[in-house]
Amino acid sequence: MPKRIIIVDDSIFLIKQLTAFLEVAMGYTVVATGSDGNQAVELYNTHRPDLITLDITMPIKDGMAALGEIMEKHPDANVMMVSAIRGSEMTKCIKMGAKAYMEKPLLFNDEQFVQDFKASLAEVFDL
Amino acid sequence: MFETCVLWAVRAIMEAEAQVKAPFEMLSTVPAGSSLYCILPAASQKFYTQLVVGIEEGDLPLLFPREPDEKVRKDAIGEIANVISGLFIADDHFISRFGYLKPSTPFFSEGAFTARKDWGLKGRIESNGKGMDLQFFIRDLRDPAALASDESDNAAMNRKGSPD
Repeated sequence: MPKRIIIVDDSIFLIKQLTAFLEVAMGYTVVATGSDGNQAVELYNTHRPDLITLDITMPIKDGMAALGEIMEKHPDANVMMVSAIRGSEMTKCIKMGAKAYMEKPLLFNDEQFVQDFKASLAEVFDL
Repeated sequence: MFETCVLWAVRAIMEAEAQVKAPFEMLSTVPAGSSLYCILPAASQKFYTQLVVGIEEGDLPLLFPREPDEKVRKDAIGEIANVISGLFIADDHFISRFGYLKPSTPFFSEGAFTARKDWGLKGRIESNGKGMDLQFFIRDLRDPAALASDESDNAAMNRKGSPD
């Protein structure tokens, strides 16, 4: 059964790019997408996916607040942060329970980046 | 540094070559002549920054020739702003001078402005034969003179605009 993924990002460009990679290259199923932190929490509770990707800077509720709420209710959740923010925020997210952190832009035409991305997914899913 | 961030981000997101068309230099005014501006603010209690990407809206299909969806093409400009800002404000030199600034989400406008005491960089790049104006400015929120001059500018504009 394919892994079920939720992507939450306020950029439709990023959602389109990430959906294409996860579905075509990885064979996963993107079951839902959202554009803010409230939607992230709601979608996680509804779908209980194998993985949720979260942007940090989003309207209404940011990705770190959503991460906190998801981890509080679902301590085993697989959360991957996907953000253009670098530095200390990355460490904070990992401490809060995110299992991986990918920096934007997602360079899916770069072989090394794709290898690293796949390695992060393997780590998240303990493959 | 800013120029390097800009070129790297544009090449990565557009998956196309990009060149500097007008060298980046210190200036305090937003590049004129664009029909659409993508604006991305970031701030702390001490500093406010604003990244502005100016384009001709009609150039979007040429900037992203492989992307058929108009909304996605426009959104990609926001992602370019997001990545440039993310790279620049995370730079060690920037953080040592200004500290950590929390970025906001990008928004689009038909106009952009800078105030008298703002300072920053602006330049123009070209990709797929079409140009993009970029500007990054910083405002010191602790500088009461800057705020006072903005207030007096605003007051003068309000007086000018008043029908009396």
